[in-house]
Amino acid sequence: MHARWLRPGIVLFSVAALVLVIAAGIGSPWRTILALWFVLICPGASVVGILGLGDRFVELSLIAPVSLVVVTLTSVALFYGGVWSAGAEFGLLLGLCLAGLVWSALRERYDGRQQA
Amino acid sequence: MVRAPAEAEEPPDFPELTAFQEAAGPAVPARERATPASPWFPDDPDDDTQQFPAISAGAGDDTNGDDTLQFPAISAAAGNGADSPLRGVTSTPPGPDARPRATTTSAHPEPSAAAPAPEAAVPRPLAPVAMPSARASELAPPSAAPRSRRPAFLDQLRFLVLPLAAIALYATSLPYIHPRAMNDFGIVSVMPWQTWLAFGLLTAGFIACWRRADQATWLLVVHVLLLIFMLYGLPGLVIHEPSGPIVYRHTGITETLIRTRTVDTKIDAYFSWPGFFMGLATLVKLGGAPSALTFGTWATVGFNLLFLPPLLVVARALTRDPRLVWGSIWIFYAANWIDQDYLAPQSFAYLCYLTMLGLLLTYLRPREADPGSGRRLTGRLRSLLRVRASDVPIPATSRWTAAAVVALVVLLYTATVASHQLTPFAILIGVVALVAIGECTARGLPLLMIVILALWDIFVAHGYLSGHLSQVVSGVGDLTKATSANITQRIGGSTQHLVVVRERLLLSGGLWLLALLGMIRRFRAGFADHAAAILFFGPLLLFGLQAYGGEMILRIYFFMLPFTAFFAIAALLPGRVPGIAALARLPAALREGAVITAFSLTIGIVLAACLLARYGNERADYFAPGEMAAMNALYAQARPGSKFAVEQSYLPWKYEQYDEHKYLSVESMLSQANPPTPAQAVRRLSLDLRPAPGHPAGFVIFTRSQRVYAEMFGGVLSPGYIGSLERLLEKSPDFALLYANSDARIYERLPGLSHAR
Repeated sequence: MHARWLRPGIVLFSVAALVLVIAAGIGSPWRTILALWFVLICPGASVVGILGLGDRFVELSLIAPVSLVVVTLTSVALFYGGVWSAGAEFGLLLGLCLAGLVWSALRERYDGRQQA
Repeated sequence: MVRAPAEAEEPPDFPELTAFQEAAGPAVPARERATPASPWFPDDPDDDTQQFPAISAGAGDDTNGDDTLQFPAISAAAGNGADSPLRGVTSTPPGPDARPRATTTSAHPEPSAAAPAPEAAVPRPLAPVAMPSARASELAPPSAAPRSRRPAFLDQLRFLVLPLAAIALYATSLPYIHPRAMNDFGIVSVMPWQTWLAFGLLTAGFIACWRRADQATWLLVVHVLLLIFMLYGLPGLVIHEPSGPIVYRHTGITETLIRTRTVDTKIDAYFSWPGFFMGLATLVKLGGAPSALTFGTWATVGFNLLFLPPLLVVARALTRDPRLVWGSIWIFYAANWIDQDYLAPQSFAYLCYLTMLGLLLTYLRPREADPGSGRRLTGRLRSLLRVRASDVPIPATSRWTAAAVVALVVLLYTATVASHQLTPFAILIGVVALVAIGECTARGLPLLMIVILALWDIFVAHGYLSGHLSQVVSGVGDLTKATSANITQRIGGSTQHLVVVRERLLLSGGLWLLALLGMIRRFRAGFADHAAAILFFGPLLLFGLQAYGGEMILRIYFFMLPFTAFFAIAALLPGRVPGIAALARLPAALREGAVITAFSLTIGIVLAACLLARYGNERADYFAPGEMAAMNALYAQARPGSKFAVEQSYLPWKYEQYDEHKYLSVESMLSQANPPTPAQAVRRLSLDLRPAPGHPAGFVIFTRSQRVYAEMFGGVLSPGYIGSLERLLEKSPDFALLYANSDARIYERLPGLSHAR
C-alpha cells in the first residue's frame, strides 16, 4: 500500500471493523478492544496530516493525544448541549474523521502541486 | 572546495524502524563509530576538534592537513586570530584541561564588521562548524560510516537475550507474589529474588544497548516498553484489580454521567471539570464495557505507553544525543514513583502537558537568537539570562503549520482545562516562562490560555467555585501551610512506612540535586538549555499556589520529571562536558568504565528505589476479593438515597450509583472540634443512618483496607479506636450484621431509636 493511503486505510478499516462488530452484536472483549483502538487512533490519524508538520515521528506521536482530545471535546460539547449518547458521539466522530481525511487529501494534493 | 556534510547519504539499516530512529536523533559522528570499544571517548576526550577538523586547523593543530583542504576558507580565517569567524571557539590548543566551550559571549561567531574576514564568501554550510564545540558536537550530522562497520541486524539480536531472560524470569516470579502477605514496605516485601533479578537483567540489557544508542534504537525501545510493562503492570498482574479507592470513584462518576446524561455540578468538584469522564463515558459505551473499571487495571500501563512518544518529542527537541535522549526516558519511567498515572483526569492532562511542550519546543522556538531581539522585556530577559538559539535545529515551518500548531496547542489546553483543575496552571506557567525568555514565538498564547481558563471557571465551574472560593484562594501564597500539608504531615505512620516516606524524599531530592549538577555542567559547556531549565524550575511556583490536599509537591515532581531526568542524565555524560580534570587524564577505557559504572549505579539505584517508593502504599491500596464481594453485595441491596458510613474513605466504593447515596466517615467526625469517643461515634452513626419515611436504611462498612490504612498512615483514627468502634457497633441493638466475610463486614441500621436515645 502506498504510504499516502496508509492513514486513511487504517482509519477506514478500523471504522468498518467497529461498525461491523457493533452491528453483529459482538460484545467484550473484541468490541472493547476495537473501540479503544478507534478512540485512540482514528480521530488523530485523520487530522494530523492537515498540520503539515513534515516530521513523521512527530505526526505519529500526536495521533493518540489528538484523538483523545477530539473525543473529549466532542463529548463535552454533546454533554453540555444535552444531546450526548454513544450513537451521537460515534456519528460525530465518524463525520470528523471523514472531514479530516478529505482535508488531509486536499492538502496533500495542494502541497504536491506547490512542489511541482 | 567546500564540501557539505555527508548528511542523509546513508540509508537506515532498518527502514521499518526509521520513525524511532528519527526520534532518537541522528547517529553520532563517525569519530564515535570508529571507536566502538570507547564510543564516547576519542583518544583525547576534550579534543572535540577532531570531529571538526577545520577547527583543529584553525586552532593551530596542524595534524589534519587533509581537512584544511576541505575547509580552506576557515583554515585561512583561523589564522586571522580574534577577528576570525572562529572566535566563538576556544583558541587554546586542545589538551587534557582544554574545555570545549565558547571563550566569548557571542553565540553566533559572525565575522566582525570592523575587521571583515577574507572568508566572507564562505558558504552557509560551514556555519555550524563555527560554534562552540560542545554544542557543535550535538549538531554534527550523521556520518557516512561504511555499512560494514554497523552491526548487522542478526548481530543486534544478541542484545535481546537479557530482556527476554528478564521477562521470562519476571513471569515465573509472579505466582510467588502474595499481596496478602505484604507489610508496610509494600510490594517489595513480597517480591521474590527472581523479580529483583528480572529488573536487574532488564537494566543490564538497557545499559548494554545504551552504550550503542546510536546504532540500535529499536533495542532501546524494546527495553523501555518492557520496563513500562514490568514496572507499571506489576499491580495489575499480581492483584488483578485496580489499586486504591480513586479509580473506583472515577468509575462511579463516569457511570453517573452515562446514566443521567447530564452534568450536575452540585454533586461535587469532579462535575465541574468533567471532560475526562465524558470522554471515558464515550469509550465505555462505544466499547460495550460493563463499566470504566474494565480499563482501570491496565490504565497505568496504557498511559505510560502514551507518554512515551511525546516524551521522545520533548527530549529530541532538547538534544540530539541519543544517549541523553534514551537515558532521560529511562530515568523518567524509573523515577516516576508518585503514582499519578492511573485512570484519572491528571493522567490525561499530563499527556496533554507533554504533547504541548513537545509541540512548543519543536515548532515554536525562535530560529534566530539575537540576545537583543524580540520585544523589549523579552530582549532584556534574554540578554540577562544569556539565552541563545537552541542547539537542536528548529525545523523550517510554514505560516500554516505554525498556525496549525498553535491551534492544536489551544485545543489540547482546552481539553486539559475541561478535565483537570491543576494541570492548566502548570502548563500556563511553563508557556508564560517560555514566552518571557523568548523561547516561544507564539507570544499571544499565554493570554489565550488565560482567557480559556477564565471562561471555563466563570461559565462552567462557577457552581463549585462560588461555594468554595475562600477555600480555593485561602492557600495562595501561604508557604507555611503548603509545607506543612505537603511535607511535615506526610512524614508519619508506621515505622516501615516512615522508611518508605524518607526513601521517597531521598530519591526525589537526590534526583533534583543530580539534575542541578547536570544543568550546571550543561550551561558551563555552552549548551543552550534555557527552555529545559525554565521548565524544570517553573512548576515550583505551584507550591505557593495551594496545598492541593497535601499532594502539590507530588504533582510538582511529576511536572518537573521530564526535565529532571534530562539534566540528571546530562550530569553523568562524559567527554564534551567539562568534568573533573583528574578523570580526563585517565586512559579512555578507564574513563568509559567510570561513566558506565556511574550510569549503571544511578539507573539501578533509581529503579530499585522506585519499586519501594511507588508501591510502598500497596498494602493499603490492595483491595482483597472479599472487600469487592462485600461492596458488590451492598450495591445490590442498597436503595437510592441510602447512606454509607465508613471508618475512613479507603475502600473500593462509589463505583456505581455515585450520585444516589450519601457518604459519611468517622474520620471526618474526628477531624472536627471535640472529636467523639468511640461510644459517641456509634451514637452519631446511629442517628445519622436512622431510616425514616423516604429515607432507606443506612449501612456501616468495615473493611480490611480501612484497618490497614489506619495502621500504616496513623492519623486521627488509631487502630485502637477502630477496634473499640467495631466492638461497640457489633453490640449495638441499632445495627444488625448484613454481610460478613474475612475481609469485610457490613452492618445495617435497623428502624427505631433505641441506642440514639
